[in-house]
Amino acid sequence: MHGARRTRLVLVVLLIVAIGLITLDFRESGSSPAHNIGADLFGPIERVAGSAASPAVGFFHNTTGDDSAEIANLQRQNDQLRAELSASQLSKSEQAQLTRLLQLSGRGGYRIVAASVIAAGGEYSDMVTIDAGSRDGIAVNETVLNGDGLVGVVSQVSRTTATVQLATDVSATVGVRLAGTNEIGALTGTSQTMEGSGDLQLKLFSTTAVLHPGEALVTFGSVGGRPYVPGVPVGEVAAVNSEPGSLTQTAAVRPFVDFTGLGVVGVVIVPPRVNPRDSVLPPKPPSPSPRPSSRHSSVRK
Amino acid sequence: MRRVRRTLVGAGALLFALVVQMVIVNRSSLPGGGIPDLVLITVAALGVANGPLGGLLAGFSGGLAMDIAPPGGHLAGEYALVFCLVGYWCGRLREMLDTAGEPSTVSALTVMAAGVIAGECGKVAIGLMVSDPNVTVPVVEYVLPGAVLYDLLLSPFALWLISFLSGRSRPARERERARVIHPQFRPRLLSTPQAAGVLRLASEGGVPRLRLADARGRSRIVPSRREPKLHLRSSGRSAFLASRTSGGTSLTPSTSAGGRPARLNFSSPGPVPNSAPLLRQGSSKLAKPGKGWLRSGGRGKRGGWPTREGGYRPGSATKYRYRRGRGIGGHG
Repeated sequence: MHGARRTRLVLVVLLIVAIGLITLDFRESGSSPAHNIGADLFGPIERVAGSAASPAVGFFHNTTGDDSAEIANLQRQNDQLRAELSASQLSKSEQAQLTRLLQLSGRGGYRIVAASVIAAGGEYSDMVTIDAGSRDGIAVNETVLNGDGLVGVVSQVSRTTATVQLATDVSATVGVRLAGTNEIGALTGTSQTMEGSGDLQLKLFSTTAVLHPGEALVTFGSVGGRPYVPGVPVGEVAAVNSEPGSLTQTAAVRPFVDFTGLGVVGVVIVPPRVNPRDSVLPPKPPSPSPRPSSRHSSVRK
Repeated sequence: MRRVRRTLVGAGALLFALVVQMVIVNRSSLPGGGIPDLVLITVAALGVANGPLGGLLAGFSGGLAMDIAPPGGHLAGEYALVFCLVGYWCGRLREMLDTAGEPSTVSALTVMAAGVIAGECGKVAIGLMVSDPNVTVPVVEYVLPGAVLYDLLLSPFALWLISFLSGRSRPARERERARVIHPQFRPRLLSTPQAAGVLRLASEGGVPRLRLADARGRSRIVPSRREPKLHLRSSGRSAFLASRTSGGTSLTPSTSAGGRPARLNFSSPGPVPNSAPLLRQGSSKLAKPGKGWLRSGGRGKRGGWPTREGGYRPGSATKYRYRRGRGIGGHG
């Protein structure tokens, strides 16, 4: 029985160690040094593996639900920017994403560091790892966006990698503003894995405001541009919930960003000098419903 | 050598599973909602293949790596706790099933299936316990069935791969080696005190009785152990030899032997101390000869047990076989 007893002893010791780790991490609300050690240890491995595997992952997402018109459009943009992009190792889909990212950040006046998503968390976490870290000038609590809109916020930084908490995370809350009406509210994530898309939950602060489906949302902005810079497109109202007895209106918001197919993202390292207001919103949102475009034209007049 | 190889294979498999999980699997959206957990599958396979200790070490390290590897999203130690238990119980259950019979692929796959289901449920449970905001009931209902299904589909491949890489496909050689080395199967001649007793009996006029030992029906299961062995049987005048051979349960009264010619005794010697004269290959009641013999072969196939246990040490043979035969399977 000596071997079995030793095994049980090891088991008990390791279980106690695990519970101790959980306790430490719980006290520091998920930012204990263990995560930094893990980032230093596994970050470089994921960088190498992620860059090697990105064509495969990109292929996966490009084959699902592509539009021939969109392909032609992206192809044109690729050809246009291929000369000025020195990133010859980027794939076509990555180039297209980078192009749109640069266009969006140019409209808003954000200074960004471009990075690629190299790894993602499991079913129960809405986090991704990007291949840029503190040596690229990235710090905690900086806004992350891509060509479509808001992605999330940097939650942890190591030297060569950074972890991004997606806007779909349940513990993420973004201050948003309705384009046009300037009503403000708070947007919290449901989980990304829900129903594939992961609608966000909007709760308006005003008791008198009326929500309409199709209204677009941009970030309201935080003090000093952290964690959220102003003016980043977030999504549009998909369905208004009328809960009897609640003071304010809530709504489900469909994000502009496809969180399941993240590729190239940008981290805003310098917020814009002036609030871009609604100018960053796409002229025609890439949503199939025609309603937003007409609304945007009415907003601009 | 085998231990080193198994350790390397385990560590490599865990690292590979972790990287593929983070870089590819987590980023792809599969039909059905859930995604497989490659690290959990690897831990269960290592537990089944390497036993409880190997399983729990693999589970702790793999789970901790999953906790602290960059995207993370949950507290450090959560998956280490769950996977540690999964690895340990996979090893334990496999041993328990093995003691009931020959180690089979079916039992291994059953244990693995139970392990991955328990692991997926354990991930949910620990998330709820530490009130992870992302683990909510709708999410679990959406994710869990698909995840379990994908895990079950991938389990046989993982088990085959781990077994193949660990070099499990050498059962015959292992069993042969176990038979050669095992002290119970090492032929022994009369030891000096026994020979002295026989000589003394002969000089005093007593005639040592000869009998066939180990001719009980049970041991006929294993043909290689059925060769009759000659036992020197004391005539009862020598308390020394009588106490050593008859063991009190022999069918022939040990006192009626004086002066009679040698005869063959087909009775079993019963629970005789292991140091009885001549070779009795595990014929004591405690040793359960047939099953013990099969099992020792099975252990050899899985590799490394006798050397890890130290059971091949001369002199500890009875203890070793007793442990095998107890059927508890408690073993490092």
